[in-house]
Parts: sequence; C-alpha cells; structure tokens
Amino acid sequence: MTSHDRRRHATHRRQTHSNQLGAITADKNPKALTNLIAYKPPTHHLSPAPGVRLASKMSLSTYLSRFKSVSLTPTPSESLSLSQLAPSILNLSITDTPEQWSLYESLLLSALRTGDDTSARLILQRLSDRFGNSNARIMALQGLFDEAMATNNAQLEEVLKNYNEVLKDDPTNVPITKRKITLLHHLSKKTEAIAALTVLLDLNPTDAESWAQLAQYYFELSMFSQAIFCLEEVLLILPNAYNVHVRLGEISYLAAENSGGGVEKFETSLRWYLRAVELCDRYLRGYYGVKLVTGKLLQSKGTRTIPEEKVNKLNSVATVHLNDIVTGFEKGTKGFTGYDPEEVAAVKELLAADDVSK
Amino acid sequence: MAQVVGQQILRDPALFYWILFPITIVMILTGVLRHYATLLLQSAPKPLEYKAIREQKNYLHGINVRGNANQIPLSSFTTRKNYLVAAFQAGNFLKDPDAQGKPPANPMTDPNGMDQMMNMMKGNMMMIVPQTVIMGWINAFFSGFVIMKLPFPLTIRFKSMLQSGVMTKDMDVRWVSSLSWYFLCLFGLRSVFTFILGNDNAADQTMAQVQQMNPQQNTQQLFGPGQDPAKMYLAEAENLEVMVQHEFVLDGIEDRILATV
Amino acid sequence: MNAEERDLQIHPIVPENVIANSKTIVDLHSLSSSLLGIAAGILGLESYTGFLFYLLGTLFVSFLIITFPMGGKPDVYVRGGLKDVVLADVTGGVMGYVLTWTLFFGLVRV
Repeated sequence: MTSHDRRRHATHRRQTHSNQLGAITADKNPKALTNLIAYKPPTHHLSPAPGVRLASKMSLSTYLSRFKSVSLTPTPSESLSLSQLAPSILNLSITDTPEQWSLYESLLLSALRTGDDTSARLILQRLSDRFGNSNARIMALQGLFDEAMATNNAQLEEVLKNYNEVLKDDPTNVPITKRKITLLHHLSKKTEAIAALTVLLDLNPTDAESWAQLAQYYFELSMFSQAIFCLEEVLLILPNAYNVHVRLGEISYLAAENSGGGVEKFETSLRWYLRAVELCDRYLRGYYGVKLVTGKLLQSKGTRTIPEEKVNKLNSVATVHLNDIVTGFEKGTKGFTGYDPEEVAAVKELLAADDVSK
Repeated sequence: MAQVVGQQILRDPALFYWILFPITIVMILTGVLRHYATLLLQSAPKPLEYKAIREQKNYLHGINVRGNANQIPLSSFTTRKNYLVAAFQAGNFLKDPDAQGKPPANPMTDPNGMDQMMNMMKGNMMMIVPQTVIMGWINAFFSGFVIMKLPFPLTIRFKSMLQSGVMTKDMDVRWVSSLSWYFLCLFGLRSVFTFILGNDNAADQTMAQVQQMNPQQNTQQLFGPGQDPAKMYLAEAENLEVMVQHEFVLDGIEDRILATV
Repeated sequence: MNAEERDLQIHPIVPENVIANSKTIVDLHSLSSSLLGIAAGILGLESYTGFLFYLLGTLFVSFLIITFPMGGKPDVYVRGGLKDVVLADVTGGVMGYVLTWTLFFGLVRV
C-alpha cells in the first residue's frame, strides 16, 4: 500500500466515521450509552496506543494522539487507560484552542464510560462555562451526563421528559433529538425510536449518521429490506464509504439466508463485498465476506449469473488476502497492525473450517 | 543586457531603516490584523427555523440522489426518483407552499438577504480601508524619496507610477520611490502570510470549532435572496426525471476485481 | 457516461486529499521562491538572469518534489500530474520572488 493509498483510506474513514458500524451496535454496559454525537475518527488500521502510561507532563497533542489511537468503541481497558489521563489533562492550562475542547469532549466520554463522575462533572462544567448552557452540543453532553448518572429507568424517563421539554421549545435542536432517540431505543421503545428518527430524517435527509442508525434499528428488528434501503441512502451521501458497502453485504447475506436464499441474492451480497474491497484493499471485513459468500455460492445449486470458475477464483483471491492479513497481523508487519484481534480470530476460524472441508 | 545603466545614486542607509522597514513591518502587521479583524467581524449566521431547514435539506437530498445515483441498484433509484419527483412537483417540502408563484421577496427588505449583504460589505471594508489608509500614510510621509533600485528593467510607462513624487525627468525607471515598495509588498506578501497565519488555518479553525459547537450546520443559505425555492424544486424534479442513464457501479465488479489480481 | 467518468466512479478521488496535496505543493513553492529571491538578491542578479534563476530554481524544486515525496509518480498525487506540480501558484511564487529579490538586492548593494 503506497502512502497515497493509506491517505485515501484515511480520508474514507474520516468521511464515514459517524456511521461506523461499531458505534452503532448496542453496548451492554449501561454506562456506555450508544453514542450518537461521537466525532472521534476511528483509527481502524493504526496501531493501538501503548498500554504504558507516561508520567505526568505530556503536551496537548500527545494526549490528542492517544485519544485518536483508540477506536470509536473502545474496549473497557482502553477506556480506563484514557480516563486515567483525566487529572493530568484537566491540570493543563486552558488555552481555548479547538484541540483542547475536542480533547475535553473525548475525555468526558471516557470518563462517563469508566464511571469517573467527578472528572466528568468538572469537564462538563468547563465546557458549559466556555460555550454556554444553551449551546445545542453542550446540552446534548449534559444530557449524556444525566443519562449516565441515572441509576434506574424512572430516572431515565425523567431525562427523557427533559429532552421533550427542550424539543418543544426548539424542534431544530438536532443533538438533543439524537439523544432522545438513543434513549428511547435504550428504554426498549424501539418503534418510537424509529418513528422519531424518521421525523428527524424528514427534516434533514442528508444526514448519513441518522440513516445508518435507522438501518441499525431496522436490522435489529430483522426488517432487512428497510435496513438496506437506509444504507443505500447513506451511499447516496457518502459514495465511498466502504464500511457501508460491507454492511450492505452483511445484511443482504443475512436476508438471503433468512429467506431460504436464492443464488441471486447471495450474488448481490457478494457484489457489495467486492465493491468494499475495491475501495479499500486489505479490508478484513470485506475479504471475510467475499470468502464467506463465495463458499456459500459454491455449495448452493441454481442458476448463477457469475460463472462457477470466477466464483472459485474470487474465493482463492480472498483466501490469499486473508492469509496475508493474519500472518501480517501476527508478525506486526507495517501496514497490517491495528486490526481488531477478535476479527482476526474470526478470520482464522473461517480459514481453518475451509481447510477441513477440503 | 541590451542597455548598460550607468546611473549611480548614493543613498543614505538611513532610508532603509526609516522607510523600507517601517513600510514592510506595517504591511505585515496590517495583514495579520486584517485577518483577525475579519474573523472578529464575521457575525455567526442566524439559525434557521424548522421549515427552512427542511426545505433546504430536502433540496440537497434531491441533488445527492441525482449525483450518486450510480451507487445504488436501478430499482432502488427508480423508487426514489418517482417519490422525489412527485414530492418536488407537489411542493411538499416548501417552507410556505402558498407563496408559490408570488414574486420573491425584495432582497433589500428580506432580513436574511440583509445579513448576507452586511457580511459582504464587512469583507470589502476590511480590504479597502487599510489599503487607502496605508497609501495615504506613505504618500504623506515618504513621498519624494528614491529608496531603491529594482533588479530588473521596466518600460518608461511605469515612471509616473513608480517615481511619483520624484520630479526628475532623466532618472532611470529602475530607481523607485517608497510607494512602489508598497505595491511590491501588497502583491508579494501573500506567501509570507501563509507562513505567519499558517495557511489561514490557525484562525480558520477557531471559527470551525465555534461552528462545530454550533452543530446544526443548518445555517448556510442554500437559496440566495431573491431566488424562488418553488421554482428550484421544479427544476430539480425535471433534472431527476430526464436522467435516463443509470450505470450501477457494482455491475461487472467481479471481473474488475479479478482483473486486478 | 464516458469512460473517464466511469473510471472516476470506480476509483474515486478524495477531494480532501487533492486539496491537501496541492496546498502542500503551493507552500513548498512559495517558501522556495522566497528563498530563491534572497539568493538572487545577494548574488546581485539583474533582469533576465534573475528571472532565469527563478525559472531554474522552481524547476529544480519541482524536480525534488516529484522525486522525493512523490517517488517519481506525480499522477498519483496530483490530478494534473507533472503540470500541476510545476505550475502550482506561479503568480504568487513570482510575486514573492520579486519581493525578496528586490529587498535583498537593495540591502546588499546600497
């Protein structure tokens, strides 16, 4: 991969960060509410931050790069190591630079994830001192804080009521609307969440994040064709979002399996996966999908539009790439770091199963 | 060289310290000042109301669907096209559907239009005012001095401009007065500003952050003053309708992938 | 849809990168042209020699840009390829060159 390629992909990631699939999947940890106002660029292929904590004095940029090196959905231990930075970051003098405030926001999220309520309160205080309580974004962060502080559903309902109050005065407050939707979903009012989201999308149908979230909600209800429709909308806004292509592949695959699976439907899924791989080489999820679907296609009978010989070739191409990824990741070769270890494990499993069947 | 210039003029080095450097420094400082003053004077755009946002965003949606139509299958595109064309033609997304056909509001009385015009005026003022002031300052204090020799020859026509205030008929055009140094600075300092103000980034990002904190991004005016949204919607509906060619990017992708291996 | 458009959709170009790259090139050129101006002024170059010096200097800088950061493949980084590397912001570069050239010419040869 040339440096140009890497940059290109980096930009793709930036374009699509708001609808990273990871961010959308529900988190079991009640502290870690699904985060709709996330803005941290996920750094899928970057190497993870070293686990060692450096002593005290680091500069703002060092902290920023620490935060950037962690994905949008950090593991508990990653969150912990980040939120442990809170005292030293809060001790830095306030320079009123954009970087500092975005660092504060990321820190607030990790503090809430790890239950560091005192730091969270302090950060929120400083943010609202700077930007004012009536700033829509600060209101959403405040709401996030309130949600995290709630210990039972009754308190969450209270927060929800607050959101409704705010929205009555200003229906254009998008961050609060998004919080409300997530909260509704969290409170298992799934249809209400979907309804609210469609209203939001009627207001602004050019928001990729909302479409992706709606796709996820439909997906959770197994309404696959609706989910696919929403993801297609995302593609109309971000045509290069390869992770959305993969998601389309995944959902079409599941839809094909669910409906008993015509060959044609699997081929659609395969094509989405192939497009993702075309847009981003070394994309693990993409090649995984190619391998999976071609395997399925080779087994199934029926009239194909893609000849068997080509399917076979695609299967072996995917195998080669997946093998590269696995060995590269294990050796830590440059350009192969930063994959999700669980995803790599899944790839190994798939490859092993393939070997057995042969 | 075609002509050998024999003219030699002895200059007091103090000319450099008291004319050249002050002008240069003042020019640089005004540039920096202007940059920050522009940022300061920029008023945050007024947040739009619900219906106005809806009107703009749905129009953008139509453009997106048309622009990236090839990313989705033909059937999906046709569904969207039919829906959007019908909705656009019926004026479903208009801020006030009743205003259709009425003449657009006068930009002079429309508060939104006034806002835009004010911003434009502020920008122009920030360019013109300092320039006139500095030119006046240079003319008042430094006119009549010959301060430097240009390293390249110029035609005689430049004489009146570059030697303004120096009433010497026979002097070579290459000897120039302080005002010409001002002009050189005016045109040549742009690259210097890039270094000082960091590609306009340092300041621009502060603005970006304020806007980021002001997250609706619904504030930009898509429909300029004097434009009729209803007509633009109808035009967009027509654009969508006449779009015949649709080539799904996923068609033949398996061959493309195999061809690259 | 013609072949070029189709190719662009299959292998999209990311506008942010195009902007960032051309910004970097323009920065390099304006910095180097200012430095070239200083050199020309100190060397005391006059008229055509001075402009020739600028021309050669810019070509040399473009050559360096193409060889080192781009690895000899300008088409990958800039849409216009070679042309866009050499001609990036020429007017601004010339202006900056003339400014420092004149300044140092005057300073050195009082």
